[in-house]
Amino acid sequence: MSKVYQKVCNLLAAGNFSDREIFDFVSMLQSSNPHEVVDYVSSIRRLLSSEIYGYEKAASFWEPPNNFSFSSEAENKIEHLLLEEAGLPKTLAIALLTQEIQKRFSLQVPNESRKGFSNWVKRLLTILPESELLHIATLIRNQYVHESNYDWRLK
Amino acid sequence: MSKIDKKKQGIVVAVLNMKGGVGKTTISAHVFRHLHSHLKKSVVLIDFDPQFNLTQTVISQASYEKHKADKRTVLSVMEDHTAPSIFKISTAMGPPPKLDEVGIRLKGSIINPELNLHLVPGDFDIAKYSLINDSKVLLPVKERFLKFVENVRKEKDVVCIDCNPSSSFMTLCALQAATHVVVPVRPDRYSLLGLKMLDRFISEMPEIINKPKLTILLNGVKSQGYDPAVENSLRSDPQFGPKTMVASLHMSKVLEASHSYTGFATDKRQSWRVTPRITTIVTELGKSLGII
Repeated sequence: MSKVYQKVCNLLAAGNFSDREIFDFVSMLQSSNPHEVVDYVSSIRRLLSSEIYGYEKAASFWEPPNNFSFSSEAENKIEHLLLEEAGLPKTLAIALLTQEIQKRFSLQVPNESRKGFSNWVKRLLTILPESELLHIATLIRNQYVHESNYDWRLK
Repeated sequence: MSKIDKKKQGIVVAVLNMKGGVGKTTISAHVFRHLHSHLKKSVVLIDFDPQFNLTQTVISQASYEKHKADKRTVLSVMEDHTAPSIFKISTAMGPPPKLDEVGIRLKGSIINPELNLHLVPGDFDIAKYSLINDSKVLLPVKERFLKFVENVRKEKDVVCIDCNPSSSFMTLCALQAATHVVVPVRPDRYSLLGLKMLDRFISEMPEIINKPKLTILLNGVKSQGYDPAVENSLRSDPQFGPKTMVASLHMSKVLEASHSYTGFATDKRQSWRVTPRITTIVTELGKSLGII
């Protein structure tokens, strides 16, 4: 058990949180961006060291920052649909997604990422809603999965 | 700071599918309770189904009977207490009640007292509106309900209406009040049919002037041995695919109604089994509803 882990557990114990609150906290932490958590903790430090710390500040202290972002399931689902279910090579999956997005939205699609398919999909999610991108990926998946059945068509 | 922020205009979310048993009440209760605590929004749950399952999920029978006796149910939102019989409506309709007169405060924050979760309990007696065919007779009832919701929107961030699965007078009331509709869909072809019927109802009903925005949430997805055929069909649909949330709600015993527990799933001892998934749903739903 690391020292940091032990210290955070000690803080939680000292904070008198319920089991449910600790479960909630851990699950929220797991789905949070580490940089944003660090920024948030820094803002709390500044607030605590401020001389004007008072009730109004304390009330706003508990409001979550609006830009707090969470990881999405979209990358995993898109990767599973196109690479595993449809069996497409990564370059073809990228080409098909790019083609379909440009046809529908005439958007500037980012180039293929050296960091892998999942990372490229993450960048796409900054320009398109995740449900829209999953819709397009499902269309491509269906097209390829159903086409592969044609070999078995009765003559 | 005054209690009512004049600039505030909360959103109104009808949770509805024309098919029953798709999880409307599960979503109204557990997802919106978590939306309240996780996104820090003031939320009002309105149990608008005569079966009042939402109410039975979150408050005890003894508590409900007390509120019913005090006329603190949705029936008092629809009309005052002078209705001559269960088959007739009140003739002298006054202004709608205030939220505090009919709502029960279920959760709240000590630090920020305005951040709370209310329930307007359901009432079997609202079933009478399904038995009255004359729309003119029901018009004052509808206007009173719409006025109540309009007033609540000035105080709260989110009003969630748990609807009953039919194209009834009450469905029309909810859809006229709604800015958004969350449609729970089970991965079976019958609930897809219910989605299509609902979309047609909203599009073609002339009384619904401001068409609410649809968001589709898959519910009852099996964690193991899941056949995604219906999900793939929904997600590839040109009309409904882009409106279908990426996150879906999985089957779990923690979400099921139980005789031994009254309350929200995310407050149960076993809540850790469902809370991370509901957190993901709430985060995506918050974006879709435009509240984060």
